[in-house]
Formats: sequence, structure tokens, C-alpha cells
Amino acid sequence: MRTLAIVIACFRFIAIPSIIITLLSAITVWNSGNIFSIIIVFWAKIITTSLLIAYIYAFRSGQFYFFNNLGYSNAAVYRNMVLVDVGLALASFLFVLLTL
Amino acid sequence: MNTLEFDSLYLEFGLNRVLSSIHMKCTTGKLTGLLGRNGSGKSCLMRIVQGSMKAESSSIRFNGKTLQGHYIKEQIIGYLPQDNLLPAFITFSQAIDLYDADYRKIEKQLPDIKNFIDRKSSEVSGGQRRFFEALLLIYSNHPFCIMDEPFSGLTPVNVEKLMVILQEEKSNKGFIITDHLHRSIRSISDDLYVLAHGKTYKITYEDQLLELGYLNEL
Repeated sequence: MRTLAIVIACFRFIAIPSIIITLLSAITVWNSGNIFSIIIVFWAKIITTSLLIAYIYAFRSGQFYFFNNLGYSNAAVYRNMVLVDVGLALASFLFVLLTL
Repeated sequence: MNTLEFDSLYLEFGLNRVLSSIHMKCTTGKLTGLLGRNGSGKSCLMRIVQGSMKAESSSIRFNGKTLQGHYIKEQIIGYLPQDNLLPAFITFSQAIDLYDADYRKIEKQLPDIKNFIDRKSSEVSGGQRRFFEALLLIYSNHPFCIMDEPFSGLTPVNVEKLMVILQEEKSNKGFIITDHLHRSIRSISDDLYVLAHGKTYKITYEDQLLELGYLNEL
């Protein structure tokens, strides 16, 4: 439970833009009605996540000490962010695919 | 009793050698003070020992065992950075839960916490947040605690309070503390070091602070 709370806390560095981008991506696929558009949206999602991580690296990584004290290295904090972000994106894409 | 010791620590930025001859030892029951002028490399030294910054070489030992690689996950050292510890989106209650810190002890020292326990750290004053961050680390389970300018932003009353708390808690964990309030650091330190010219000097008599150029007068 504590591990899950820490993983989610790591994701909160990028939560708002990440969720907005994921929702916009899912809506784009939904509106297009074309399953193959998911390939373009998927790559757009990869690029935007990379940009978000780069932003955090440049401007917010000084706040990682909070997680270092909990036993999570900086690499582990980034890994947790990407893990939740990709997980949410895949879940939303899967939902759209199943309902198309 | 635990021991944290580090030496053979070298750090360079380009041609500029920042740290070259470092030796410090900290044990449970003792408060170790570190003084140094601005830009002397105190924060770099602390980050290297904490494990988030790499040096050209270093030897860091916990109870005689060399710490290598990603020892952050062993949670031996709690680190209070110069800037905020708490990310803006974390509430005080979440921080206490995640750190498994003793809430009753924190509340005893900071009774006002009842009023902002469920607020995010960005929603309270800098002084209250700083005092809470120091208490959070003091009352968490790390055997060692490195504090970079813990007194900055605190009112004089809270500086004195924190000094008393550190004296009380040093029997439970080892502390390495640096701050520009040198009189406070000098009065609570059992061992005092000055970082100058990339080297640490253990202070055995007060005039050394003048000789090393840390103070102009005592």
C-alpha cells in the first residue's frame, strides 16, 4: 500500500498535463473512428511524455530528495512516473479500441 | 551505536577542484557541525554522502561497511536539502505517513500542525514548512540525518527550539549539520569541521576559524 502511494506520488509531478494529453489522445482516436490512428497518437504520447520528463529533469528534480529519503533513487522516481503514465495511456487506448 | 565515515572524496567541475581531501566521521550520540564559506562545496559534499551526486572518487562507510552503488534504497541517510524538501503537491499528513514519522512528537514540538496537517506544503509559510521538514527527518527512522541549512527561514524561537530538539535526539541518530548561523552550530556541535580550499579541517581550538578564513573575528 505504501509502495503504491509512493508510486502515485511520483506520478503527481506530471499528473495534470499527462492526464490531459492522454484524454486528448483517446478522444482523437475515438473521433477518428480509425483503429490505425492509434499508432500516430501512441507516438505523440511517447514524445509528449519525453518532453514532460525533460521538463521535470530541468526544473523539478531538486524536489526528488523527498523520495530519496524514502529509498527511491532519482532513476526510480522517473521510472514510477513513466510506469503510471504509460499504464493510464494503455488503459485509455484499450478502452477506446474496445468501444469502437 | 552507528558510525558514518567518509574520506578519499574528490570532486572536480572542469579544471576546478571543489573537494580534494575530505575526512569526516559522525556517530550516534554526536552532533557533527560543518562550516564553510559560500561556494566552498558543503552542499556538494552532503549530496555526495547522501548518494544523489557522483564524485570522481569517494569512500563512504556505514558501521565500517563501504556504501557503494545505489545505497539510497537502504535508507541509511535522511537528507534535508537547502531548498524545500516537500514537493508542493504533498500534504503534511501524507509526508508523515510516507516517512512513518512519529506524529505525536512532531505535534508536541509544532502544536500548530493541527491547523494545517491536511494542507499542501505550498499552502503554509516557509518558516512553518522548514520547521516541519526538520522535524519530519528528525523523527523518521534514518540512522543518520544530514541537514543543509536547517535554520534558514526559522524564527529565533524556532531556531532555539530546534537546537534543543537536536541535542535531545542525537542519542537516537547521528546528525551532520551545516548552516551559516555559525554560533548556533558551534554551540550544539560535539565535533566541528570547516570546509576550506576543498579540504575538511577538524576544529580543535576556536582561533582555527580565524586562521582558516571562515571568520574575521570570534
